[in-house]
Amino acid sequence: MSRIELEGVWKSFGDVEVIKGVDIVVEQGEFAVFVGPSGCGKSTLLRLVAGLESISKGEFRLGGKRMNEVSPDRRGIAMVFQSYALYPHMTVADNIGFALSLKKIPKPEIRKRVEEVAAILRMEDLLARKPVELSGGQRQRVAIGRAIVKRPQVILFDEPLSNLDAMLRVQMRAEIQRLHQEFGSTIIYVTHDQVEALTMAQKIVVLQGGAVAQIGAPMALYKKPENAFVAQFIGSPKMNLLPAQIERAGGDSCVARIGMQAISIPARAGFASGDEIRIGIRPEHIRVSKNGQSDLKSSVALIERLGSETYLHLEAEHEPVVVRIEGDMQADVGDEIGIVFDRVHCHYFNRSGSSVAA
Amino acid sequence: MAGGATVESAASQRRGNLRAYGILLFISFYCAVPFLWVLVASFDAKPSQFLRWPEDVTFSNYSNLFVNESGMLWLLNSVVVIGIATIIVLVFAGLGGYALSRTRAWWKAPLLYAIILVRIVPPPALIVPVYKVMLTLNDGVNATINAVVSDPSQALFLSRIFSFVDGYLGLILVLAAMQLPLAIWIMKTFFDAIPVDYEEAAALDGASTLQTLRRILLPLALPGLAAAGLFAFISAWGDFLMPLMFTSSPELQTLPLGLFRAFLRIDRIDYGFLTALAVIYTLPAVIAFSFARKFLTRTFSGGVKG
Amino acid sequence: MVGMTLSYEARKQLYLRLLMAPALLLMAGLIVFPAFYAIALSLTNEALLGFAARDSSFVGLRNFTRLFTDPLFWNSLKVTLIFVIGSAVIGQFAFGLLSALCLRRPIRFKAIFNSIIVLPNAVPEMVVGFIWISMYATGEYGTLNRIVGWFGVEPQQWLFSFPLMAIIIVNTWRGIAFAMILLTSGLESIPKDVYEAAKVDGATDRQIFFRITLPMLMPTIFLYMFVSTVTTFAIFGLVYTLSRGGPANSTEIIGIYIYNQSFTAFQLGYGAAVAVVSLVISMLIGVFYVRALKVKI
Repeated sequence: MSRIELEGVWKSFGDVEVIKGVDIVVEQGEFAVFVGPSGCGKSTLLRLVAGLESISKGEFRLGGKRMNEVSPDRRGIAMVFQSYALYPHMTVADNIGFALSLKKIPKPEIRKRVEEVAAILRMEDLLARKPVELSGGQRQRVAIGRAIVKRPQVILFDEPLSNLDAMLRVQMRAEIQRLHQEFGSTIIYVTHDQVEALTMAQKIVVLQGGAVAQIGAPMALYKKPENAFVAQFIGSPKMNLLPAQIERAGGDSCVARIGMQAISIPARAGFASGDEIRIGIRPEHIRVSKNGQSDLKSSVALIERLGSETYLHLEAEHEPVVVRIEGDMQADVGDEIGIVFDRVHCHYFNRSGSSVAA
Repeated sequence: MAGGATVESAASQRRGNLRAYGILLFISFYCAVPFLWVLVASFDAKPSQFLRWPEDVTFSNYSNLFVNESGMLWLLNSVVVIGIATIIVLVFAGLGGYALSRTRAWWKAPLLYAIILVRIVPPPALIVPVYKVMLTLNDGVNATINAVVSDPSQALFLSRIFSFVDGYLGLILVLAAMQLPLAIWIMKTFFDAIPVDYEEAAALDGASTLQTLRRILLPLALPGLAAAGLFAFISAWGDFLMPLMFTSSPELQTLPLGLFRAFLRIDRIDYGFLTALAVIYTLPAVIAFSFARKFLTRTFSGGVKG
Repeated sequence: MVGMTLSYEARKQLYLRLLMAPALLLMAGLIVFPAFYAIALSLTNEALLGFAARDSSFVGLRNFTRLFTDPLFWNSLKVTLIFVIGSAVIGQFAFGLLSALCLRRPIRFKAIFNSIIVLPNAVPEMVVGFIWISMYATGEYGTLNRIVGWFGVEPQQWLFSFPLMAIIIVNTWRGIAFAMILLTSGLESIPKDVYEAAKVDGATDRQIFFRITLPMLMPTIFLYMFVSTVTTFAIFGLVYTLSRGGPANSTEIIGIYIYNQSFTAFQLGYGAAVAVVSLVISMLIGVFYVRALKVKI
C-alpha cells in the first residue's frame, strides 16, 4: 500500500520554478535514491512528498490515494533530516518517543516501543543521554530510530550521511540497507553523492535543473546513460567527453574529427555530415597504445599513482582526457602518448546532449 | 598598546602595562567615584548632599523603607508595571520574532527595514502624538467603565488599572511598545539560527502548532528570550520619560518619578530615605545587566546589522 | 484543486501572520501611527490650554516657519549636536577604546576594572541625575570641587558655569561601557596572525595600531557610532533630572526642548513640529546607516 507516484509535479517559489513537471514511480518496498548536483531540486522533491511544501501543480499519490492536501503527520511518512533535527532539550528516549507521546499512547507502551527501536539500532545504553552528548554516528542512529518508531510505510532520508566521516558513512550505508531489508518500508533517499546512489539504490532517479534526467537501476545508468549529464554524473572518475565533428557519414562506419585528428566511429542512424557530437568514454575503457597504432595522440599533463591503479591526465587537442590503468606505468609529464578507445563502450551524444542510439 | 598578540621586549612590555594600569585606574576612578556618595549616604544616620564619612553608620535608612509607605508603594508599582511590560514584550517579541524569521511573505524585507527605523525613533519625539492617542483611548475606557460600573469607588479603582493616562495599562503598554523593536530583532536573529528542521520534524511527528510552540520552540528559544527580556527590563526599569508623561496620581508613581519628585522638595529632602531607595532601585538593573552583558555585543551588532 | 484543505506550508504561513500581529499592532499603534500623527499635529495650532485647546485648526506650515526663525530651536539643535559629538562620538568612544586596548594587555585585576567601568551603564537615568547632582554640588564640600581642589582649583558651580560640559561628562561616564564592550569584541575579531605578520614585516607598535588595528576595527567603530549617535540623540531623562534644560536653555537638547514646548509652554502643535524635525534627522541617520553598511536581513 505504499507505492509512490508523482505525476506531472511542479513546484515554484514565487516566480522561480524549482520542480518542472516530474513523473516518478517508486514501487512498494523499493529503495529509491534521488541524486543530482546541489540545486537540482532533489530536496524540494522530498519535502513535497513529506508534505512540508505544497505541490504547485500535478499530483502525488501514496498507495493510489491523492496526498496533495494531506497534512504531513497523516501521510504515514517518516523523515530523517540532514541535520538530524534531534530536539536538543530532550533525551534520546524522549526524542524517539516524541511522536508517540503526541498520540497519547500510554507511557509503558511508549517505553516498550522505544526500547525495541533502541535494540534494533544497538543503542540501548544511549537512551538517557541528550543529543549533545552523542557522536555524529550515534545522532544518526537516533534520527533513524525516531523515524522507524512510528512504523511508517515510507521513510525519507535527506542527505543523511553528509555530516559523517568516510568510515562511518560506509558503516551507516550498510546499516540503512539492513533496516530496509528488515522492515521492507519504501525508502526515498536523497543524496548528491553518486557513490551512495550506486551502492544503495534499487532505483536511481537522476535530477537536473528540476527535471528528471534519467530513471533506472544503478548499472543501467552506468552502462546506458541517456544523456551527457547522466553520463558524467554517474561514475567516478567522470566519463571523458570529447567534442567532435562528423566528417563523413554513411556506410558501416563514419569518420569524426577531434581537433586536427580523425577517428573512425561506428555509423549511427542519427549521424549526418557536419554534425557536432560529443564522444563519451570512461577512463577504464581507454588503453595506451603500445604499437604506435592509436586513435588519438595526446601528451601527459599529470600522473596520479595510487598503487593499484594509475590515472593519466592527458591533453589531446586541448581537451582533457583521463585514462585509468591497472598497476603502474612508466611515463613522465610531457610525454607523447597514443591512446585507443574501446569502441563497444563509447557513447555518442548529439548537440542537445541526448545519447544517439545505435 | 598596539593590541596584545605581539612579541615585546620585557622592558617595553612592563612600560606598556604600567601605562595600562594608569589609564585604567583613572577611568575606574571616574566611573566609581559618583557611586560613593549614594552608597555611603545610604548608611549614614545624618546624610547630606555631600560625600562624607558617616559619624554613625546605620541600617535604619534601609529598614525605614519598609515602614515608609510611599517608598514601598513606588517599588511595588515599578515591579508590577515593569514586570507586566516585560512579560508582554517577551510574549509579543517571542511570537513576532519567530514569525518574522520564518515568514516567506514578499513584504518580509521591507518590514524588517521598517523595524530598524522604528527602533531608532527617539521617544521624546513621540510624546505629543502618543499623549493625544492615549487621551483618546482613555476617553473610550472611562466611558466604558462608567457605562458598566455604577459604584463610583469601583469605577475609580477600575480606571486606575485600565486608564491609558494616569493608569497602569497605558504606562505598561507604552513601555512595552518602546522595548519591542529591539526585542523582536533579538528574537528574530535568534530564531534565524535555529534550523527550521526542528519544527518540520515535529510536524512529521504529528505535533500541532501549539504543541510545536510549547514543546519544541519554547525550550529552544529560552536563551534568546532571556536576552530580550533582560534588555527590555533594564531599559523599561530605568526609563524616566514615560512615567513622567503618563502618571500624575501619587499612588500610581513608579520609582523614578517618585524619587524625582521627592528630590524636588528642596526644603525637606530626606537624603537617607532617597539614597537607600536609589540603591534599591539600582540593584535590579545592575544584576540584570551583569546577566545581560554576555549578550550585549551579539545583540547590538546582530540587532542592527541583521 | 481537489478539496479546500490548506497544505502544511500554506497553513504555517497563515498562522505566522497571526503570531506577528500583536507585536506589529502595538508598535504600529504606539510608535508608527504617532510618528505620522506628529506630522498632522505639526500643521495645527493644537494647545493644551487656551482658545486653541478647545478648537484647534489647520495652520499650514506656520509652526515650521516659526520654528526656523526661533533662536531657541537653533540653540537646541546646536546643544544637541555638541552633546552628541562631545559624549557619544568623542568621550565614550575615546575612553571606551582606551579601556578596551588596556584590558587586552596581560595585566591583573582585569575583572575588577571591567566591572567598575561597566557599572554606570546599568544605572537608571533618575539615579544618574541624582548622584551627579551630588558630584557637582556647589561649595567646597562638593565631591568634584574637592577633587579639583587637590590640584589647587577653586570650587566651581559646575552646573551653572559649565552646564553643557557637565552633562557631556555625565553621559560620557554612562556610555564608556557600551563602547568598551563593542570595541573589545571588534578587537577580538581581528585575527592574531595579522598582527604576527605585521610584526614579522617589522612594523612598530604605533604602526601596527594605525595601519592594522584601526582600519580593521572600522566596521565596529562605524556600528558603534551609529548606535551611540541615535541613542544619545534620543536622551531625555538623564538631562531632565540633572538640569531640565537649564540654566537659560544651555542644556536644552532636542528631547527636552520638545517636552518644554509641549508640556511647559503647552503648545502641542509647535512641539509636534520640533518632533517632526527630530524624527526626520534620526530617520536620515538610520537610512544612511542601512545603506552605507548594506545591512543584510
